Amino acid sequence: MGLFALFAAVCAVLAPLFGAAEIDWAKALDLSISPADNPDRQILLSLRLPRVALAMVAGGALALSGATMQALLRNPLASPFTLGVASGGTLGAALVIFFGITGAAWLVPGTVFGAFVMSLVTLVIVYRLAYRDGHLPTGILLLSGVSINFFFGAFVLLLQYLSDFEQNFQLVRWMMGSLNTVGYEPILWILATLVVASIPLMIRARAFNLLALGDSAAQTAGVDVGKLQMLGFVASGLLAGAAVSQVGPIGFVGLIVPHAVRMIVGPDYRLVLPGSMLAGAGFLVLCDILSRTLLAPIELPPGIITALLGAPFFLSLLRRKSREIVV
Amino acid sequence: MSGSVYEIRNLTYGYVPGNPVINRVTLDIRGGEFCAVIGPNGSGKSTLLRLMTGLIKPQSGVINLKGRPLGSTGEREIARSVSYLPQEDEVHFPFTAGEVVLLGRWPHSGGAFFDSSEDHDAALRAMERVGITDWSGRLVTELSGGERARVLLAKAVATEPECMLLDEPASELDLKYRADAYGLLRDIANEGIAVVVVAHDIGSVARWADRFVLISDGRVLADGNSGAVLDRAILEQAYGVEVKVISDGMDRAVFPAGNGRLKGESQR
Repeated sequence: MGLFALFAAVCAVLAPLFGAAEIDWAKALDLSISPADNPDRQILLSLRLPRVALAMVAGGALALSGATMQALLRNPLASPFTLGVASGGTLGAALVIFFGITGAAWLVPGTVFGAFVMSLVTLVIVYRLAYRDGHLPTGILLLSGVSINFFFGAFVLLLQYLSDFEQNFQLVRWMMGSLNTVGYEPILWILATLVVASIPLMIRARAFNLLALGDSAAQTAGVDVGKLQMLGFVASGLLAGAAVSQVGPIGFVGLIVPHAVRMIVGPDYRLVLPGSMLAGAGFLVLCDILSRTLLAPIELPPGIITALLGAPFFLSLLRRKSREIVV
Repeated sequence: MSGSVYEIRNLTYGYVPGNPVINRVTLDIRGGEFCAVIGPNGSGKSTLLRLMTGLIKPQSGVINLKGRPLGSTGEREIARSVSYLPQEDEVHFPFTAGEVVLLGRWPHSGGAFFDSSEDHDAALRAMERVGITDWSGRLVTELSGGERARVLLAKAVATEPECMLLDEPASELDLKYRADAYGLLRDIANEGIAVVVVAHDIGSVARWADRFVLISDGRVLADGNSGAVLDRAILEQAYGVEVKVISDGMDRAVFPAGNGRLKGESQR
């Protein structure tokens, strides 16, 4: 666990060192100069640091959401987006862009609002579709979620088809994700969700271990399987919705980070859940550093980097330790 | 002699209304007895076990666990008193054998985040009894079906309950480990625990069980010791096949004979 915390901390410390503009560090950290006369300090405080913090909370939320979803569905292929929350969120953003509800600037609060509301709507729809007699049966939950995922995905395509060039551009950029931020509000939103969702998940981490042995085994051991499924589903959905609405549907973090963590610490969710959160935070910050430096001064969208960087890294792990992932 | 762990009266349950899988079953299970539940496929054996765990609720009839209705006993308390080994073995992530056995202690440690040293001791004892101490660090996903079955048996033993309900615990085990497993369950019953095993390998369990309950069409067709239940005529009636029973001391070999039909049944 210390390893993952260290990874996250190192990434967080290194990250502000990279960026489009050169910062004079002596000047930026010199408190005797008033902020108004100190552009270096302004860049650090209002651009660099918020961006790192946003990457950390978003990466942590997505990875924790994915680890929870894998526990809930007992399926290592599950991710935060498996049950349609991200395509719901994307549809929300697409609706806002298509109907021009908020001006022309991209990543305005309008898309955030639309994406978050539609994420929650998706969560409620999938929950209602899958709910049976106090339970969310795994198979029905998976099929309902995946169907809604495709359904909303088709709506997004429809809106794209009907959109003009500029709207299309906005939406495509939104879907690639962005960690640009000028303030701390988005960070606080995700952080609040992270606190609210992670505490009950961590407390019940041991019950998720029993769930891996099957519903009957867990239920007869005294675990309230129905309640545990609802907690997992709602917490995972809220985390994904909060992150996606602020930074876009950045993929791969929520799928791969829990796997990498599991390969290092084993499948015990008492380690996998907090480990994923920390490693996810570090991973997205690391991806963000690369996205700003690889083709500098061009900044690549983080959604591209996570998979471009993550897939080869994961495949190399897979080659060496495949027996510990295959279930 | 311990008293009844389970009192089951007129138990009826059906997945479809009007078509009971368990039909007015009355049964007492006492501490210290090793009870083998036998019967044809689909006769309701597994359903009976699931009813006894509280996983499914009966449409009518009574199940008392230690003198109290099962329905008004808390899930945690049932879990502490009764360990249940389902027929299908599921382990979805690569846990080690030691971790799986330790999960058998959940009913005792409850919501606690960490396992206590008592739990570790109990898990170790269970692994010793099943003879799998060496596997502690092995991944369950890499074990063979029979090896995994022994890990899950150790998990059920680790709970140290008052009653064990095991659905075909030996179906994947070879001859030696079948004898080992049933011998262990016999020992556990001798310590005063009630052991209920659903079994198809009647011959393997015959020496160890002191009671046989033959279920057919959801009803108890015969209930008694091996001499009373493992009888050719009764088994032929239940299974609808010609049966041979060969007795040799405590052992009884039971196997289908003839051409797979009852004598006198028309040859199609």
